[in-house]
Amino acid sequence: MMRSRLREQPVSGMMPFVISLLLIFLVLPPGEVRAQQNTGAGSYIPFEEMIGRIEKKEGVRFFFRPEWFREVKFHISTIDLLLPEILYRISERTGYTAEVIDSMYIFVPSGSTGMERNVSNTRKVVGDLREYGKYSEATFSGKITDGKTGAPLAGAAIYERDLKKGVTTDRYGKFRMTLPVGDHDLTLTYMGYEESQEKIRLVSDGKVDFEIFEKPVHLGDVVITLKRAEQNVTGVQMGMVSMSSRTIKELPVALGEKDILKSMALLPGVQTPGEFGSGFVVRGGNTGQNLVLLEGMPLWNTSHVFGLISAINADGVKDLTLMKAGIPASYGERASSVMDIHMGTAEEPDRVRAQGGIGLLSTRLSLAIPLFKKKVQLFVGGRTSYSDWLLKQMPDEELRHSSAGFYDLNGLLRINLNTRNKISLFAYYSADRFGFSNNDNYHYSNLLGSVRWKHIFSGNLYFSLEAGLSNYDYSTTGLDTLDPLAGYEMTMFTGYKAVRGNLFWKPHEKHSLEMGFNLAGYDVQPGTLSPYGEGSQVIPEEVPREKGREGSLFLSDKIKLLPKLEITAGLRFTLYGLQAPREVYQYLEGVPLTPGSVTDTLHYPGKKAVQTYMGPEPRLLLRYLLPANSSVKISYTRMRQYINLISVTAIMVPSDVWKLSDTYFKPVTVDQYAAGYFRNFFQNALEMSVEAYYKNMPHLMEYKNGAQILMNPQLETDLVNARGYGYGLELFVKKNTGLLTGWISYTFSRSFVRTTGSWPSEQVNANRYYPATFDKPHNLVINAGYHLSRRWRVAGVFTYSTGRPVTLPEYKYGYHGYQLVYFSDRNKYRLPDYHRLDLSISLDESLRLKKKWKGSWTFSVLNVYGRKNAYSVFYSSSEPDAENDYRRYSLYKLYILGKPLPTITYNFTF
Amino acid sequence: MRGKNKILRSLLWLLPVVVIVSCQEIYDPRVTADEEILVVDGLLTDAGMCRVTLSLATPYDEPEGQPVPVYGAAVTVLDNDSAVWDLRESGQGVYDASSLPVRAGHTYTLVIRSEGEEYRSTPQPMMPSHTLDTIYGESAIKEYPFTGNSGTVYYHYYKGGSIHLGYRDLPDSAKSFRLVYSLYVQYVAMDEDQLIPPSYYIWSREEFPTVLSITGSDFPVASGEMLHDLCFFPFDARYYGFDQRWPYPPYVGGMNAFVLMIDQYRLNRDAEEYYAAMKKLLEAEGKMFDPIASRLPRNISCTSQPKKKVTGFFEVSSLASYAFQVMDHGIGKPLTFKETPSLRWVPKYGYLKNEHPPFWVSGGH
Repeated sequence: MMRSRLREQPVSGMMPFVISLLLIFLVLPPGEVRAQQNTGAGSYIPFEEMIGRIEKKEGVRFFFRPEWFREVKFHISTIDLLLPEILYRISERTGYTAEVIDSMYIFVPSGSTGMERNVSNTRKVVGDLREYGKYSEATFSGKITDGKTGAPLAGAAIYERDLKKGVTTDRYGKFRMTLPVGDHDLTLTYMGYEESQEKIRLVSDGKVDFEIFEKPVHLGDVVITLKRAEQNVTGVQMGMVSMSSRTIKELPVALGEKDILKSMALLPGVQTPGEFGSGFVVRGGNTGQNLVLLEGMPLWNTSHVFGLISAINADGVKDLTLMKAGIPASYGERASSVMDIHMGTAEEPDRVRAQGGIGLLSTRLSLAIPLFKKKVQLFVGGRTSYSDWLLKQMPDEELRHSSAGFYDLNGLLRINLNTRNKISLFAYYSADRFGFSNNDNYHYSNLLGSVRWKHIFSGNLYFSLEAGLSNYDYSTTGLDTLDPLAGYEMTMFTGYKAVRGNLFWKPHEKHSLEMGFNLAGYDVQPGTLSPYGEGSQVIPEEVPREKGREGSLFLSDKIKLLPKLEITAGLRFTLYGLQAPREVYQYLEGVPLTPGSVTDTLHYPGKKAVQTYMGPEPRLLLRYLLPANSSVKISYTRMRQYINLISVTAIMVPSDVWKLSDTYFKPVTVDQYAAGYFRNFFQNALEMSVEAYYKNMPHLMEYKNGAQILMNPQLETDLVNARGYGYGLELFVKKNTGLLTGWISYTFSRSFVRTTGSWPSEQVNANRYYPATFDKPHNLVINAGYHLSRRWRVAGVFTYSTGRPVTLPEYKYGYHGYQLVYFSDRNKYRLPDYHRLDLSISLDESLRLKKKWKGSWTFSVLNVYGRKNAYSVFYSSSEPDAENDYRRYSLYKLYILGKPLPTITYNFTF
Repeated sequence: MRGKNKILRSLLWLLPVVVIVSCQEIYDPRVTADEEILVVDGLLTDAGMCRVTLSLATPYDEPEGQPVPVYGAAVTVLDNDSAVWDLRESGQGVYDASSLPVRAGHTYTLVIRSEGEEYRSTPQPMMPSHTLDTIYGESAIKEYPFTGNSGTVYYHYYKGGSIHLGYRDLPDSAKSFRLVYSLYVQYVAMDEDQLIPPSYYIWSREEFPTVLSITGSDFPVASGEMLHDLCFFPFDARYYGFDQRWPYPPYVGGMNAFVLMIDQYRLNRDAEEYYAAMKKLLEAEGKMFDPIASRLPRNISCTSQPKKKVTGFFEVSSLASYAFQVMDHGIGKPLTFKETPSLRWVPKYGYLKNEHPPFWVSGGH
């Protein structure tokens, strides 16, 4: 009953719920995640649990070595005592006393005069005090060991933050460091260990040893970005979102699959078409205007199963960055955004490591393998589905006769030739197939490969050279048993090859330069048709191939002009040519372009450029630091795109056609102006940003009503030139630390387009501006995760967005006995608003570092209140009955997730 | 181990949920439909027949009903040789004329004056008629889904004829046809016990009003040639309801003959575009990758008030009509065809006892 009522509620009915979530989210203070354990039966509780409860009750924080209190239990009533009384009892019982330093309570052995750990204001003196003032700098050495076992730690780092100087320990845990004489705050880090702060007073050459301790909890799991905490304020880049694979892991996503693309849509300015459909939309640009780079090569189709999950196995992803504005000059080729994805792991593997998972649709495995004494690292991964089995269980006979499946493979080989030269080789292949009712079959695949050489001349000068390719193949076959003569196979191909070089030079700490070139070749086969099956009489047909070349030079200069002012200015210049051989249709002047108005065909033989375009792409970013850990940033970006995705569907589908700019269609050009205010609170525990943008898009392509895209050699007769603009405001608040983490993102954005045709048949909505298909003014995301204990974690994501524009029937009428409908102006109406709540509970992997096999479970429920979010609407024939008011044709709403969808996934590492 | 198996079993039960959660339902959005939109349904053939039906479009969310006819309009067809032909109002918004001296190669314009406004079509060329080169087919089995009382989908498997048309020597400028077909079927029933007269001679003329058959989207099979799948029709009496329409349970019988009647309209470019869009609209299945719906093209506009909405189409096509008796020789074997006079004029259905109707087809299979 309750579920039914929720489903019927309008959006406004959701607001109390949303506000409650907001309040919970904002009211809870940031704090360290502390160890907690299950209470268990009886009146006594473990020390750590008691401390956790006291922290909540008193609003204080405790620090201690867990092993000191491991076997200690207290009566539960202790929690209700006053804090001094509690501390007294702990001291009496355990022999450890709490010292208060900077409002933190640190347990130390009672009666001790000094602390082993960096918890007092006392500095360790290094050297001979009698030599104080004698030297300007001194060298000290020592050893870093495991505080519990005493084992030396190889590769541990010591860093002097103020001087930006650091060293690492050798295989015996030893280090040697030279610093100016005086007081220093040292940061000690080692993977899997707590970061430690050590205060020393360096007097003269001397020795000092340090101990560090294993992390009691996995704080790393809640890290949102790989950047420094204040990077969002101090960095010059804006319009950028980063996500580590750890963050993705915590999101409850469909079918138990970690999905980096759909996860990106939870961040401001990024939206997906819905539960289904490839691609994503960034700040009003269409899905084809996003460059998704996988180890430097563009991925043409980013999804499996027509968009149900992304084609990138998140297990193999090291990090990814999406740039929406102020895109550096080193990037080009697409007009809206760049998503740069790197594979592998952040840390070099010290032994063979594996991770994988078993989900509802697929199973996956990734391996990280060190070779040749860690000079070579190999990362391989794969994923395969078992959806064929699933389809065989379906009640629908056509589905039972269908087949579907996908797999993907990726491999990355990193070779450290020496300290100055590194080479990496990357390969990726993904394939999808879908057969409907044994008759129609679809296949599509991506093949990517790249090789990169990086040469380091010195610490501030390096060069990289990269070459690679990316091919996308799509094919469909149709075989009607009643009509074997018409069996056909249709194929499409999109190819890309590129060579690029980058030189990075940092002549000064406040000044860096990056310059380079990019030579890219496009090869598009829009369609071939051939007979399929025995007896087929279909004549082979081929839409002429399109080939284009794009060359670019760029220079980017990043300079800190003033202590608070930093500027990145860049210029990219591109030259594009559509290559011969090619035939260009000439059309009668003074009439619309139609297949019937062709007057001549010009043949361009050889390798002559049929049509060229060129132009500069200036980029500018400016950041000014403000007081109170805040900054303002502004940017201007011009992007040009010479290859465009032509789609007549609401979503990106595998059969969409890529089209090169040609005689009739200029390159898509986008100018974006953006400004933002960034501020962090509570020592970067809370991040906040506000960004506004305006986009001008003078050259776009739109399709005519009823356009024929497939196998159309005269595509220009079905497309029309258009222009557009967009603007928006993005608000983002993110809580990085504490038991509760997550973010709230709100985006207001608009995107409009209008055709510029001279003739009625070349005009849509009489050349008036109308909302673009992906125009969704309001978008709200609340993503929150709460650590119940060390391993148990709950998470929830609430998303709301305005329904996308649609064209709906306004009238009906009869013609030749058929019932037809008169559709509204394009995109005049909207689908109902979209909102959904997903919840998950996870049992994370064991925290014991020495345990080899570690498993984790995630149980998610998507669409908790069963909202039937409209994915699309369509007009279709049906048997007249009471349900459809005895209409022969009706308008239908299609939804993908109409009910709560539970999923369970098991992930593992070893 | 037992626990792991239990988890696995739970997983398997969850799997089907993935697919069954997606669904569709009737959607009745609120739309604005407060304008009067004239609907023009016009056809001029090279046989000299012209028929124009004028009506008003009804708001989409109104219940099904009869279209609202437009009376009292002045409807005229103009020839590019300056000939002017007025059409006569024959009731219910229908305006027609016959025996017009229409010629292939000429262009024709429809002009309508109604309620103080003038509507005019773009000039439409009349394409020359083109002979149907080949008709052929084979006997096959096709499944027809139907929904049982419990909502379960079942399938009937019918044996029938799969019919194809072949065209040759088609110029690229006009290779589209609109095909309207109907089927005459006849059936003989006799007393089950006696198998002696009286016999019942039953016939039916089947129309297929929801099928829009156009060429143009077919794949070419040879240079200048085109192959078009026209239809599949079952040989089984149950499909046509003979076992229910003439309830004589004691009687048994069998299908006796089939005559397929085809009207072939040769379309000009505008009509080809219009019907292709119309076919997309009518055959949309709501699959996820269907093109975004869009308004159908039209060749009529309001010249007195250009912003006034009007829809419909004035089709100018040459017409060729054919009728073939179709004979079956078993599954997988080619059907044979014998050209016969059209039976489009016979009553929709009926029967005679112990005597043939005058149009009875002899030599059935």
